[in-house]
Amino acid sequence: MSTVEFREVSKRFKNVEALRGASFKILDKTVTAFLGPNGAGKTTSMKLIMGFLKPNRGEVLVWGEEPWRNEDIRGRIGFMPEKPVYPVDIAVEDLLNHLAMLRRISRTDLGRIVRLVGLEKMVEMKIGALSRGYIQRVGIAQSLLGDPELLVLDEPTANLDPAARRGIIDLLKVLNKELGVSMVISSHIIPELQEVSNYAVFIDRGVILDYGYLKDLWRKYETEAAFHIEATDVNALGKILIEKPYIRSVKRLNGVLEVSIDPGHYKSFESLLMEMGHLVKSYSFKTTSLGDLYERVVRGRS
Amino acid sequence: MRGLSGVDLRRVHEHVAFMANRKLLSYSIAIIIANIISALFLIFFFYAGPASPMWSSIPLGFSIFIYKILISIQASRVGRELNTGEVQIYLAHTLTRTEYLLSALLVVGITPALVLVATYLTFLAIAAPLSYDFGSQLPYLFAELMMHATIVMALAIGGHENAASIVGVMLALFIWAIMGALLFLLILLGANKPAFYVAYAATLLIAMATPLTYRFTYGTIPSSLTPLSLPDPLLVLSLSTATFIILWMVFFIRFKRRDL
Repeated sequence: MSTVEFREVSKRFKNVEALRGASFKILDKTVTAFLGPNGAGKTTSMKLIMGFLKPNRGEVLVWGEEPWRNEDIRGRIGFMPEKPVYPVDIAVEDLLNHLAMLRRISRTDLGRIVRLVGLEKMVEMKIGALSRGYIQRVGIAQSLLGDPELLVLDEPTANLDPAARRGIIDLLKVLNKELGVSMVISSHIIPELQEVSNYAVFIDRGVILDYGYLKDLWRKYETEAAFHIEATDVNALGKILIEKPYIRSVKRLNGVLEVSIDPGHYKSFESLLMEMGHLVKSYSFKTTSLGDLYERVVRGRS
Repeated sequence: MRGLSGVDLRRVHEHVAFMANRKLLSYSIAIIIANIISALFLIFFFYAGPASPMWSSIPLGFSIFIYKILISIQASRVGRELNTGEVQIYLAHTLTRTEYLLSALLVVGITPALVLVATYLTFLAIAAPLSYDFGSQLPYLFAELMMHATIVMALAIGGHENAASIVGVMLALFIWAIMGALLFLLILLGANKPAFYVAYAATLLIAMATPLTYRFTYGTIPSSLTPLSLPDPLLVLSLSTATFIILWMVFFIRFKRRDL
């Protein structure tokens, strides 16, 4: 079932066409990487999902409803805007308390969220006195109020130093693991969402290049990929796999095998893993580079 | 608690309190100064006996000036919330567009206007018996502050938050001079000159924007001095009230469709 659906959506701001006939779907229970360079139309798409903008043409549907018409939809979404637009003259706890009051959330729930995002020591500070990393955490904290069914995070790592960016990515991983909500995360730094996302929408200059599950896109665009395999006997499985001609490398990482294969052999490799069910406990599909996939999508389009 | 048009009054109340609290210092200063002026006025009445409308215009004029500054500051802040995108945070937390603008209307216009009207109502009750003339000024006072709020909010919503504060302060500062100059022009110009009608129209517009100020100045100009009689203050009050109600309805309709 699709949570978000864009049908031939166009959005124009004076002379700039931010979106041109964009059509895509975001499915339920996915963590979607919304990827594209600066000015691609990511923020416009996020705002359309929230109902802050009205499309000039086409339809934006969130759970089958148009968000700019039905404002109640926003109550089911947690939103973090791209720019740190929070009032700088008030304390973190005053803002969060106010937003929690609007959503009728108890102080206990608010405290839980504050602890989850690691803000408990900062709540008394004015927002204007926080570092960019902590302001982003305030953004994530407010987006989690009310246990939303969908999180829309617009560039959560923008303008952060590498350490702060790492912190936010780790936090997103924790949120995904602990809350299990659908997420749409936009970023122009393509590789960073690799660790958290399982679905992607690629956008460039207002045009949707492609979208879908990452495992399908990797197969479609034949990018080099890797499988992480948990085995009952890691050494035995490793010996079997290394002899296959389409396997490039087999590495042992913390008791898990990381197997890199040639593009175009996904199906045969997965069949092989099925055949060796007695050795394979579980496996997951990992790409070596989301950036590489993005390059291929752009090239494929042009 | 859902009111008319699906407006949740609890959320509106919560957001109004939040917005007002952020400018609590400005509110407190405005209320304290206005109340001191009112108290001085009260003492003056007790010891000097009932005064003329011109006398009552002095403390009222000061109070209005202070409240107009407060209104301009608040409108400018609402404009900044819209321009920077801060509004998205509140709307993302279930506040609807109508509820947001209603909160802004309450914080920027209705609350300051009612606080000042209530201050003078209290004063009237304590210092009774006062003349009917003074009590009758209160609807004009409310309309004047609401019109000021409407003008500055029109600028703020239009994305001109700095203009909202500058125009707001300028209007508050120079309205007496503007009104006086226009009335002087009307007397100076002959009825046959097109300039007279331009000045007359301008006077009517300014009068609608500041019905109480117009009421004070109206009484000072004998009708024999102007070729065309000046509009009655009551008519101006009606037009002014209708104008700010219509303009706020337009703000609400346009804000529902506005890109944020």
